[in-house]
Amino acid sequence: MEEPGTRHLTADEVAGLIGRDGPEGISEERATHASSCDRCGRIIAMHQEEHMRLQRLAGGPRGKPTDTCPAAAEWASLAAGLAEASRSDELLAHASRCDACGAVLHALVEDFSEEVTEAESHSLEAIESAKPSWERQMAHRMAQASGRGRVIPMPFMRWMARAAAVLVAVGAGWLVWDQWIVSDPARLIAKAYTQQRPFEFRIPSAGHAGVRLERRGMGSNFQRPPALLEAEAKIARELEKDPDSVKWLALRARADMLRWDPETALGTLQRALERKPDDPDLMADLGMAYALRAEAQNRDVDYGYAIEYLGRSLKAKPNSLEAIFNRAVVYERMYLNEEAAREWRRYLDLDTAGAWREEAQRRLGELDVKKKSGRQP
Amino acid sequence: MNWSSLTSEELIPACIDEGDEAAWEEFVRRFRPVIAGTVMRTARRFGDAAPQLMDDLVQETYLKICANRCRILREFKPQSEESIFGLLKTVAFSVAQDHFRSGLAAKRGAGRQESALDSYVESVVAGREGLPQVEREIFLGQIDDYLAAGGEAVTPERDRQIFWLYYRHGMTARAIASISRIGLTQKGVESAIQRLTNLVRRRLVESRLEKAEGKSSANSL
Repeated sequence: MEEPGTRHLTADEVAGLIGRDGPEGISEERATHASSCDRCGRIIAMHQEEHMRLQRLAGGPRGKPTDTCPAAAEWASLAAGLAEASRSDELLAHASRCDACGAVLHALVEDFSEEVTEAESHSLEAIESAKPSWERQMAHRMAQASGRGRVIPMPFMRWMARAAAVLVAVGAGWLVWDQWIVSDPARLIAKAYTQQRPFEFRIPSAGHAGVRLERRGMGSNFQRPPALLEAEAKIARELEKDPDSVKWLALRARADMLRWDPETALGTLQRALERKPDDPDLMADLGMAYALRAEAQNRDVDYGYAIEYLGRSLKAKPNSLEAIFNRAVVYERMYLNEEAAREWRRYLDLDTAGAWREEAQRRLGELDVKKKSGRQP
Repeated sequence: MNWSSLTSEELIPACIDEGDEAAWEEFVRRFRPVIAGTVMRTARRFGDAAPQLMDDLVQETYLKICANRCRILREFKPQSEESIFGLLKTVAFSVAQDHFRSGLAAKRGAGRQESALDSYVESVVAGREGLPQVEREIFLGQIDDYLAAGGEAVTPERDRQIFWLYYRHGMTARAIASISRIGLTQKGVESAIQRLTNLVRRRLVESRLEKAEGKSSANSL
């Protein structure tokens, strides 16, 4: 049997020594052996080297997130404890193997979980939005935005239900008439678009045409195609009768966009969306309006909103050709060429023939050329 | 009505349903630190936390919260009293990230090549000494094999994830424990890290000894 003073260090004893300043993890007698035994000394040195190498794993340059990586918003959800359990497991599994996503998660967890420091607190108190007057102004805007969300009293709800039942009973004949009225200005707008396509984005039911770059929309009455003027007049008449009608608001917004007035279109669409919050067509139009404002006012942040609304629309209507087309164009504007190419490919899978398909093919080809030449546009 | 006496869970429905300006003022006042704090930290990671920009992003965050009749708040199902803070942090982060992503897209148009999250990611690894890229790749593969060798019984998936979050991504045990899905206290995380660190380091040293001596030295360890 070996004497305690001559026995080599065990794995636990070696582990107790690593990463510490001194031999606190083992007895004095074992520490004496460690310092006098060549073999144990060599093994301890190796453990220390490996310890250092492990410490250095977190440093150095990181790769970029790929197409298959989850969006940053998902990492934020995980860090905030809002992601569902099964999705959290998938995200953690991905983060543990992906340098780029692991770094994003690291930053988010740190930023979300750490207390505000004194220095940060000073910085936050110094900005304009810390002032009570700013807070009051903001509160006023929020109250206005939510004011329409007042809970409708129950007797009124019951009355509404009865009214709805009567409307359903009146039903079919009215529906036919209504469809005719709705489709008419919609068709006129689509026709005006095809006559003078004022931007690269698509609007529903419109035929293909080349973009007219020489003019910024159909600004003056003189420039506007008769079809658009006719549509606008009809829409105005209908809105006079029913100012809150979602379908007429949506069409008016579309006409506004054709005139390159995205600001007005945004206001109109927001109003419509307040009345029909989940409507995928409204969200698609809102996405297009944001993209147009981004161009008109050089507001890059609006491209982000455009992507968000187009994404929401596509979640409800995944095969909407117009929304896919428009999202691809927005990605191009954001110089997110890989995302744009992915979107064009998706479009081509769904649209099997026609001039819109040809345009999608051409644009995908141009992106491929850029990718091969390794240049940004 | 004394809005400041309401819990967050009571205040939010009051804001949405009543639309009362005083209730919203309490909302803005109560949640401003969490929104502005998240905006500031995110903006710093992207490299631009100018006061004017911070004000703009804080404002954008509030407006996003009340867009579409406060849809974000209406659809939110809080799991705990703290959940609302998590929600507001994610909204503030996404507003700030959208801003920088769009701005960077424009710069890339002017010839810059980096992706939107580059500077954000760099803020995490800045100042840390790393291994040469090839050595790191090999080392990661080697460790992965050691962790996988024991199977789920020896190294459960969760512990392996903790190990990678700690070593590969440099997160602290405290930060890892703050991820609710991990389900451990800081002490629990530290214990998992210690156990797997010992296991991995021992295997790494054994491997070196085997190469050096041409035989297993497992018995001596």
